[in-house]
Amino acid sequence: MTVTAGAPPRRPSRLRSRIGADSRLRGYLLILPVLLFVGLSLLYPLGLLLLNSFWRQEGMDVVADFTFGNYAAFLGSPGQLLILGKSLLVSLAATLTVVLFSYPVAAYIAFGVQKHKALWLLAVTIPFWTSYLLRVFAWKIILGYNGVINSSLISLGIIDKPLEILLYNPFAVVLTLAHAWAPFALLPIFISLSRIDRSLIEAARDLGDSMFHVFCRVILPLSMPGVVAASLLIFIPTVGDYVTPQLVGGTSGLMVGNLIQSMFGRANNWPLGAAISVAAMIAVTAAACLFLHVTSRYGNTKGARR
Amino acid sequence: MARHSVEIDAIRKTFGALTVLDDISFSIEEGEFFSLLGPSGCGKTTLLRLIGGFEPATSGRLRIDGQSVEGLPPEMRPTNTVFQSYALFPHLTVAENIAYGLRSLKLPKAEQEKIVASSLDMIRLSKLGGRKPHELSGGQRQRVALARALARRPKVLLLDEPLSALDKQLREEMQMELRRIQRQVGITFIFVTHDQEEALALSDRMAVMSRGRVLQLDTPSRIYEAPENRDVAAFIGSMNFFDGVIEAAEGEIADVRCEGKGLLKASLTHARGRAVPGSAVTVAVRPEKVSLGETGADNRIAGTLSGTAYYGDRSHMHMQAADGSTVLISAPNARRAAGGGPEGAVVASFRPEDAILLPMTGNWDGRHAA
Amino acid sequence: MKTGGKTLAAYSALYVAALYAPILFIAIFAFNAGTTIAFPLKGFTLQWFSQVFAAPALLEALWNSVRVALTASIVSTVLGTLAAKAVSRPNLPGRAVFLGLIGLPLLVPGIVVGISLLIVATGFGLTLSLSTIAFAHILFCTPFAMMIMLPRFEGMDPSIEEASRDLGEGPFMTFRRVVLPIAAPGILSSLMLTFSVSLDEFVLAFFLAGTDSTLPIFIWSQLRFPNRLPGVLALSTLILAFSFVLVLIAEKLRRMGASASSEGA
Repeated sequence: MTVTAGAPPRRPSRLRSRIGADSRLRGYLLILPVLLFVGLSLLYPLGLLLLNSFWRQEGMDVVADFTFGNYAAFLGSPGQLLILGKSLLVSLAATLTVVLFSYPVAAYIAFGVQKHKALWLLAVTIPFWTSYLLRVFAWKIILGYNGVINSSLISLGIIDKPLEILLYNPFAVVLTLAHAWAPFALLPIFISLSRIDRSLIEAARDLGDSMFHVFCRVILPLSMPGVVAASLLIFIPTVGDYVTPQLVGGTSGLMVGNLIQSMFGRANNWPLGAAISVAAMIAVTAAACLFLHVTSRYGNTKGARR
Repeated sequence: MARHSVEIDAIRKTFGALTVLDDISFSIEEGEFFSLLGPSGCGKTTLLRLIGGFEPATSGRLRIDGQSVEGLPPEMRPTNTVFQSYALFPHLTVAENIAYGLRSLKLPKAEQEKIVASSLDMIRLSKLGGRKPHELSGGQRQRVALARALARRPKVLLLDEPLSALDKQLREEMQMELRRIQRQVGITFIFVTHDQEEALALSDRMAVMSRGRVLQLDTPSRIYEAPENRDVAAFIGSMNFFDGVIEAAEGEIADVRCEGKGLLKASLTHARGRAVPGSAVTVAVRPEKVSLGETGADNRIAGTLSGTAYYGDRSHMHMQAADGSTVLISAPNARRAAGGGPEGAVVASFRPEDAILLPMTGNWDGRHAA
Repeated sequence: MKTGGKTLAAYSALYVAALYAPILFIAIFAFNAGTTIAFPLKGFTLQWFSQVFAAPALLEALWNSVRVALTASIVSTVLGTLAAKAVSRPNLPGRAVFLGLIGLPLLVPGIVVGISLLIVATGFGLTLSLSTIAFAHILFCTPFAMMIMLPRFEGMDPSIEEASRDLGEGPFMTFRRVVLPIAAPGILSSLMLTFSVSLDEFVLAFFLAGTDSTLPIFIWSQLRFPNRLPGVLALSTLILAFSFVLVLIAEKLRRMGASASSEGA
């Protein structure tokens, strides 16, 4: 600044000068409202959910008596436990499917595409931003009794009666989940792949590895962080998915999300629903931690990054 | 004597347990081209950022143009900065970048336009005022950053390694340009660099820094020809160091007994009164002041030539002395000659007045560097 | 290697095609004259589309959705921008915790967030309405907004803001004259994408709607009636087309923002 000669510049107040000078303080001031909002609208409700899970439903009212009864009821019900177990398995299957199918595409976009990288990325990103409900709904019309597959097979003369095994089973749920969550897998894997220094691959080739060995010994280990991120990003939220099992799962494809919903709907037992939610989240977290533990040896690849 | 432009008094800066600036005190005169030279991590950029107001000092006082700037944010200081990355605003044109700082001065529109036009003229980019930064070359961006910082007529211009991103040829061109502009506007320039040739070529005075301290503050020629301690001598250019013990110190010349090299004579200029017989010292001599062969100079070291590096304009020769230590000799290639040169047993010689007598550590006046 | 590359390219093309195929079927059958979703197609018609706008319940749901999405996109973009600016300093202590906390709504299953908010709302005696949906959508959209804004701020040379301060502008004017214009394409992109996310969000809205309806809730309610399927398909097609256009523009802006935030050396 240019100060007019003589007159000493007016000093800003202590607080203002601290805010002006301390960028860390500015950072905290900026993020404070966001943290307050998230705390108020997510952490507080989750806390209340936890509290609710120890309460008791009496007729139409929730009674604030501390009890482990809900958890005991849930753990004592093989049917409900089975649904939670099935949810974990279905999500795991969907996650594995997505990652396996998406990895080669991520690798192709990262290494194989030269000119239209942005276009490829756009193509896989658009579905990410479009309606989840409609993307799931689309599978209902494909797999349905009068759906795309059945009617095509019939008109081609391959079958003469619609197949009923397509829809309303866990496989339909896995298929639909895998499809709907594909962009979530592709992007993290792509990012970790595109961060691999090309000269590392060239160095491995130079040191005598075939392309296959380069993949196993260099590319795959270095892209593991992306694979891990993608897996968690799909596995964790899908366990509690409600839309997909409801639309394409049928009775055999029901998942824990539907169970929770029924407790807040027809069954009208909020505390039990809360307990099941908490139990499901604990199970998911445990599974995720186990997964992280197994893959932790791939965690430290910092030195290899560009 | 000229007025002090910047007065730095007992400035300390720590980041947690790390001391980046350790009790720095010196003054910069008005209209001076002053360089802060040192290896990366020596604290020179931190000192510049302290002056610019981007970071507060942990302790100490700082006065700019005679006034304390303590607690003043950058926008209230009579300084402007040319950033290492140039930090041109990517969404504004060249002219808008230069005019950016004029808004808060509340100058009339016509006045602002005049300043922008003359700034563009000064950096010889009058035709490119409408371009965006990404449409400029590195050298052009550098000049826009300079013009933008000067447009507010600061009392002090701070330059943070502004030439480090340019290639060698462009850098030398810009050095000339910087010097010309500094003479033209006549304000104090504080120039941070790790390039010693740049600092030597540009500065009126310079401070050599290392590990948060100023090792020596002087004119470029004195920094080069009369370093006050081993660290400065080693950091600027190359230097031969011969450790020994003073046998006699009379008049202008000291006799130093050096292991494996016999008796060497060195000038006593700095060390008079401090260097007494029996004290351990270092005789320092620049490689270009050492000649190969008998020259009649008083100091002679015999050895064998172990290697030669050819640099075009000069050659560096490594001579192995009797004790196994290496003597570096730099000789200009004044005449065209293809290959060949002295080999085998040779004698290196230099004049006592070209040799500097240094204490083993610290300075002669008792201050300890680093 | 050459043939391997070709196989990979072909597979990738197939993958992308499979990504779009299901929604393409929605569009195809929306123009099909037949009332059942089955091949062969019965001929081209626009009648399902004309029926869509004849339903008053749908128009109300649409208007509700737009109001919720506008609120959610604006508030979440403001919050996301603030958060992104704060965590764009890599050395901000607690950065990882903040990122995790703000990203949490994406990881916790929608149904759990939904019922938690439901418990809070009933606890406070609030009537479920569009406001409760908007509140939940702000929570859900903020991590998206932050994700979109973060690369903008991270790609910005930190010296740029210092340069503005150095040239005489305080923190506020620096934000207005430098940070905001550079972030503008990202902000616009965030507004559009979070609008799209809120418009399409179903689970949270389903639990928090009360008697109000949004577009996805309306569609959900129609799925029970097989004879209304063609109308649902037509409506879905319109929503998908709208999302596509919005996302295309937003992604274009995002890329523009990315190239403008650095000097492009």
